[in-house]
Amino acid sequence: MTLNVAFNPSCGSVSVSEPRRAVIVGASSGVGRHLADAMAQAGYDLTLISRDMRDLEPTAADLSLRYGRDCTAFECDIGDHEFDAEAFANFWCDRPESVDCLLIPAGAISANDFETNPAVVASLTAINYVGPARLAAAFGRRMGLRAKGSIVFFSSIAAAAPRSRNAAYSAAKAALEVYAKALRADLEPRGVSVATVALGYIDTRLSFGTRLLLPVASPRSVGAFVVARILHRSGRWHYPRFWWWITTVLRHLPWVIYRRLPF
Amino acid sequence: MTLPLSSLTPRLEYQAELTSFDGTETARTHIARPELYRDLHTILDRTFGRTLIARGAGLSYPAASFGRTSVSVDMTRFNRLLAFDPASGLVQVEPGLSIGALAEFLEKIGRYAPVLPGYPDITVGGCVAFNVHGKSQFHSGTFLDWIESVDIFHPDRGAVHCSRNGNADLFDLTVGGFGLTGIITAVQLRTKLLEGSAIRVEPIPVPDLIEAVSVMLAQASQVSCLYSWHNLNNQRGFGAGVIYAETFVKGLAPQSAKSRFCSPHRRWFLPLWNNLSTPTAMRLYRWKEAAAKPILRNLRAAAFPIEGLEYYYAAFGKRGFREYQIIVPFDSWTAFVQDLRRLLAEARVPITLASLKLFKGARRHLSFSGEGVCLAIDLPATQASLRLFASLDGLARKYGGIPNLSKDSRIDAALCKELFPAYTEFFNRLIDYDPERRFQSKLRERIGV
Repeated sequence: MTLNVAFNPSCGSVSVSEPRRAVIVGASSGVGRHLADAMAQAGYDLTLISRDMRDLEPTAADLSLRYGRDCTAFECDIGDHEFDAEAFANFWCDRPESVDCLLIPAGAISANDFETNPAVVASLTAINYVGPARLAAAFGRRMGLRAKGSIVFFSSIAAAAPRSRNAAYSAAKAALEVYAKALRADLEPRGVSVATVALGYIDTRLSFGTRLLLPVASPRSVGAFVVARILHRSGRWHYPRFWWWITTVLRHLPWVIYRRLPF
Repeated sequence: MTLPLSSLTPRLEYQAELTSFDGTETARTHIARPELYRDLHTILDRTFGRTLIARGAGLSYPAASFGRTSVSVDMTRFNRLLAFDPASGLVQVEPGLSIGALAEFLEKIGRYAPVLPGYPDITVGGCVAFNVHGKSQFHSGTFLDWIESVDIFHPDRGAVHCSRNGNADLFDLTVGGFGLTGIITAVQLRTKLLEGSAIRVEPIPVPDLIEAVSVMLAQASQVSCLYSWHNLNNQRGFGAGVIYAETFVKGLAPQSAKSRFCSPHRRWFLPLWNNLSTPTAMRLYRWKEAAAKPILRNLRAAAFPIEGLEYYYAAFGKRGFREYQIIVPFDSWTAFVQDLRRLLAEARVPITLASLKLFKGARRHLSFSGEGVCLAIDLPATQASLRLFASLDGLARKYGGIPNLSKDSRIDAALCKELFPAYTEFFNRLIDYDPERRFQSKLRERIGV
């Protein structure tokens, strides 16, 4: 495939007067891709990160053409222990138009995540918790020095209602939520917002082909929700919102009832 | 320790029942919906002996995007604009991009794609697979005329870039080849500069189908798009209708977007179109349109007239509907209309839509192409409609008509061979290219290619 983006029509609905940049980790599919779309539409230049350039390049080209924003594709695996989060944050923060927002919808599940499989535990923890936490810490410190910025983590309802399947995934997302809360305590007084969005059923490759009891939200609606409601606000949200009620009930159920639930 | 990426892949496919858009063909099949290129390659590499077929918006009237033994590869997540060159006007897109999204992008940069089917959710890949003709083939040709190149992937042949200048045979087989040559991964399209910011639609009342064609031929050189609607439910005033003549104009058009009534796939439990409701509705529509004045429409409303009319399809109910679309040579049109009138009088079926367009150009393998008058009629999918369509097949034989395989869920191999002189040649070329028949759909099984 030849990619030759020769023209930026600057035709998006640009709502900002000065250039602002958002880094989106896991932007090649699902929620990440639609977040990128919503952010570009809101006038942000983008740094898109994913593990595979084959998907990132078309996404960057598409957003550049549709909205006329500067979209840079960057291939890396934040779950790889050799990934240097400090150097990466230095590179992007040491620029005239610094990074305003860091959004980390990256995540993974595994069909093998149903028994004590140490390799799966390590992989899923690296991608769902360690990588995002390292990156957020590196960017957060630099945003704190500028007293400006926004970090958005993406968790899952699985963190509140773990099951026998997806045990490692649920644990990693729960760890991420705890880390986000600690980071918020550190950065919020310094002018940096830290938000966590616990996602319910979203129509992405992670939920594809799964029989689900409740309605599935579109990834596009997640992007619109984050841009409209979450950006530059600290806190923890559920999306879709009704999941707050469900997870609150599930958290408080006695074990004898919880273990019998058919999900 | 981190496992390789492939071990962290979630579920790629599942089993479900799919139904053709007209509601008459159903199959329980495997569906895969890749979102990443590595997922797509995994699906194409690990078929476990099963056949494949690409699927877009699922708006093909027949079962072209699924088969009993095939994995339907849903390409709707590959829906990005890849490149645009303002000097040449060439735009490169992924196959899952909807024509609505494509038209929206092009309008913003002052361009348009001249051949677009009437509903915005239809994907570019689907347009290539069926070589669609849009609203005015006479003026703009078919989709083929606006395709510069196609990138296609076949599990046995890998990725191939084809155009009129390179791999021309594969290009010719792919455009209008029902998705049987592989999975399209990118399409490069030619576009045109917009000639105006709005469309002026002038309704011209006509008393019958024969007069309609005379008026359309007289008007053709003065407008940019021409099509018509007719009421075929009454023997008195048979074929009375309205021609819609569209021209680009400079000026402000209403900007409000049409809101959708429901999903185009929705079918109400009870059918509403019947022998009582249909003639009444058609007569009222005819009265309304006969008195209508010229109006200005925004480009989207003019390009996609079916958007907002989803209830029309929902009202066919769960039993579905059938469409017969045929190109009748100009010199046989009068005799064809007389026979059609006799057949409809005998059949006593509700005709929910009858529309005419003009076609020109040469016939091309199994594509809906050629020169003459294109007639489309819709009716509920009943036994009576099957009998009527069999009689219409007889008219197609008698007058050298060409039916549209992309609108028909019942034409079999024998009839296809009879009506399409290029059938055997197309069959042989397809088998030479893909002797293992790696791409299969119910449509392919039925027409036997």
